[in-house]
Amino acid sequence: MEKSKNTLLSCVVKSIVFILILTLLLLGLSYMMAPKDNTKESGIINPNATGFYSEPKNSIDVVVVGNSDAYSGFSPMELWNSFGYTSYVSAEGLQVPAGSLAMLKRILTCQAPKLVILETDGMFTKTDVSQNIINAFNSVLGEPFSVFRYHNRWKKLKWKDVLRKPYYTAHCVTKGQMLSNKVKEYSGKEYMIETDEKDKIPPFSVMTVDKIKELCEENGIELLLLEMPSESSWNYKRHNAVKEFAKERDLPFIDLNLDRDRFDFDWTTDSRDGGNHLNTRGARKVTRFIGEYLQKHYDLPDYREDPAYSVWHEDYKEYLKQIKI
Amino acid sequence: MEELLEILENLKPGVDFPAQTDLIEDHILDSMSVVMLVGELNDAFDIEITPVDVIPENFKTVDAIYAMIQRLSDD
Amino acid sequence: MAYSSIVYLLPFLGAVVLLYNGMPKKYRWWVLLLASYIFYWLNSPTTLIFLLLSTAAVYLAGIFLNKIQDGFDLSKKALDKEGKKQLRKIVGWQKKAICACALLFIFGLLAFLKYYPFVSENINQFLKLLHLESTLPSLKLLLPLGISYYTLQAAGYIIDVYRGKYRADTHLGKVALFLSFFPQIVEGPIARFDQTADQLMEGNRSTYQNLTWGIQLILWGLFKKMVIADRANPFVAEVFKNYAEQSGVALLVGGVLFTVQIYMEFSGCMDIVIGSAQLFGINLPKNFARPFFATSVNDFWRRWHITLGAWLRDYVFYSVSLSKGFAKLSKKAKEKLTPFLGALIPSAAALFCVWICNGIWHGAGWKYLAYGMYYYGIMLLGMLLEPLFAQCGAKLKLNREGRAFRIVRILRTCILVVGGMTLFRAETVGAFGEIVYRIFTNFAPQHFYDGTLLHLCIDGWDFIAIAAGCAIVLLVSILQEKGYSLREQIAGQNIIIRWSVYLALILAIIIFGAYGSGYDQVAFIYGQF
Repeated sequence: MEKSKNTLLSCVVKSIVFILILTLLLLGLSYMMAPKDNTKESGIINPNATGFYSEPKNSIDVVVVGNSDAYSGFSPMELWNSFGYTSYVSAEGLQVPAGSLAMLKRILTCQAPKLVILETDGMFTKTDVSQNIINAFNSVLGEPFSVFRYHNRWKKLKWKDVLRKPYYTAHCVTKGQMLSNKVKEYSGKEYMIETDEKDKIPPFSVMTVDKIKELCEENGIELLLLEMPSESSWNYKRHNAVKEFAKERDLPFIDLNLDRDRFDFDWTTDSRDGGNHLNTRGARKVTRFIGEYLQKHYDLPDYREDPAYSVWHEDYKEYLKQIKI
Repeated sequence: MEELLEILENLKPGVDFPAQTDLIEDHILDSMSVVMLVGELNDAFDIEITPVDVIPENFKTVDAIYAMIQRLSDD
Repeated sequence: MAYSSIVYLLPFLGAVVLLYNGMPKKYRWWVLLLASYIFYWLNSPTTLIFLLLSTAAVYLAGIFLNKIQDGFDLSKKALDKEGKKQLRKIVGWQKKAICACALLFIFGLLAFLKYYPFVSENINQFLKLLHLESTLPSLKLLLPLGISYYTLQAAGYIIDVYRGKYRADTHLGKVALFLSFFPQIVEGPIARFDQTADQLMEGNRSTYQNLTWGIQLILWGLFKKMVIADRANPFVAEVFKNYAEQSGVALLVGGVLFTVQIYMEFSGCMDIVIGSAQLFGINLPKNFARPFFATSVNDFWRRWHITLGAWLRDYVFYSVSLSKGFAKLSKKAKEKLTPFLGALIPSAAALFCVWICNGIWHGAGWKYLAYGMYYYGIMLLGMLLEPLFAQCGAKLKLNREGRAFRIVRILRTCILVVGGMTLFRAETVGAFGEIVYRIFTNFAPQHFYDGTLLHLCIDGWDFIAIAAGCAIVLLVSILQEKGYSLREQIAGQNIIIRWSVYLALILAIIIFGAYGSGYDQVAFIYGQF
């Protein structure tokens, strides 16, 4: 009896129904387990990078994505004070392009940036096939199926949070920048030695950055590739690789490791860890230079006189208090 | 057969060997006692039981052991 | 590409199942062989050559053994009894020589690649003591993936052919697939040629039942590995790394948790492995039979890593104890000493070989030798004291077959096993000594309830998750021990109950699995041998 029922068709139908039920359950669980705020206490991953959720809707014009080089080296508050542009750094430690893509999608749910700056160092992070699959999944379905990211929250789940809608309240004064007033000099040799050799960008990174480009085009956003000064992660071979990549796609690319005198950069005072990441002083110099570039090439509004943005002036004052070098 | 039962009785006193259906699965004969048994059988029946013969099927029951002895003495 | 990784479970296994079933029956074994070599190459590209060498060696040796046997069978008809005896002797030597060469070759590779660093270092140390310049260079050798497993399979095959259990196979692909089948290659089970080779070549279609049962077993394995083993890992790693700063309680809990971890991980991996093979309708031998219900250490090793124990029994224990030299030794011992000792000494000596092999098979190091000797010592003591136990039992009128006594024996075995596992996990034999010393001298029982244990990398919730996971596994084990086949029980229920069970299992892995931010993927412990 039972055997004869197990025809191929019924097996396929059963499998599909089973997967459907599982999908629905996962969607429900994802909703229940997702953090309902973007504060540190809410359990959201990287609260600094996700502060854009609680900025006024469509108030951010420039978004920076990338890895730790980006959140150490880009200072939205400097950009605000010198040029009046509103920006947010949604960078995360070890963020790879797929993570940038996922982040960008989250940003687009509540902001309408005019420019996205992608820090290119993450393109060279080595990932294995398993990680690529997970990253690809997260960049496409990471939000609805956030249970895979937030499953460990079962330990801290509060009943009152389970069914309510998210309500974002965090206020990040630095707009995603991680401030460090430490100074550790890099006194080694010059690392940008001109060469014709070229590093290979992992194919998965190429594919994903192309997806980011597509997403930007669909939403009328300009895309700018940027490399922060970093002795330990950058070299001329990588520069050549990204330069070629950008040229093929007609994307602008700024490499701040070249001609560092342009912005008066000094490895003995501007790094917090001896050549890998920038400190607040380095970030200030770099951001002003980027601001000049943006002023020249893009038409971004200056909101400094706009009363709707008065909070930014307050934030700048707070930010200054935390700058010690 | 008598001789075999006597050897088995000496090896594990108090077990009703003819009544057992699976000496190995029921842990009456473990690898230790199998080795001792093989030594005794080799001497008593002037045969040579090699590792190939030491498989559960040959030691499952008294009859199986006896059949193996018969087979090996014919060789 | 670990068996618990996404890339193995989804694209790899999925593609192989599809390709396998898409091929005509005749060619399906090609898919398995190709997949196996690709799997090996993806994991360990440079060492594939060693697998190929061992495959070629046992294949050729098998063919030679066949030839010699055929020649003997052909010419023996023409000979009289005496001539036959003569020829048999010569042929016996020839076969022995070929078998020995093949074994020397494959075990030589294993010994060199796995034990050279350890042996050379110790020899150099020894030479230093004698004030001689050290002479052996230290080489950095890549240990081929799964070499400890496939070498045993290869050796078992050639010994079986030598012993005449079956004829060597003339099909190179069959021998190659038997040795390299991808689910088994990393952690076993160590199969015999007559257990799996025919099945691998049959090329039966994956039936719906095989697929669902295979997937279920894989999920069950993932549950054990991700929910229990990986969650316990941070605590175990911390306690055994900084053992000198831990109290006795923490070390004791660490030992118990490591025992839990390695069981869940190894048996979980076996579930994934056996489940993977089942997708192709292939039944691999089982490696675990609820070892923590064992009533003695002997019994434990019949239930834990079954295929290794069986291999050592068939090819080491019987080879040694049934050899002619041992027969003589046994006889002498019986004449000169008591019959009890006469029976004991040969077994004890053969067992010694088994446990030396067991110890060094697990790794090159004094610790592993000590590990083998630990169990050897316990078994020997048990054998020596057995008459005494029996007497005491009789005097005290204990019912040694009763239920209460059985539970006492199970507990005793568990304690001994936790001791063995602690030695296994400790960094060195010295560290193990220190751990035991601290357990007895610095127990600090208040750490059980004052929260100290909750600050060793895992929190109270983790302990609850581990305990709940263990409770579920225990419940399933009790049912299995009583003879229920849980799978069949569940399969017999209606669709709502059935699917609820499966969905609950999947969701439990997704929510309570120790993965994602804050958890590194933990490599399988038994994959490193």
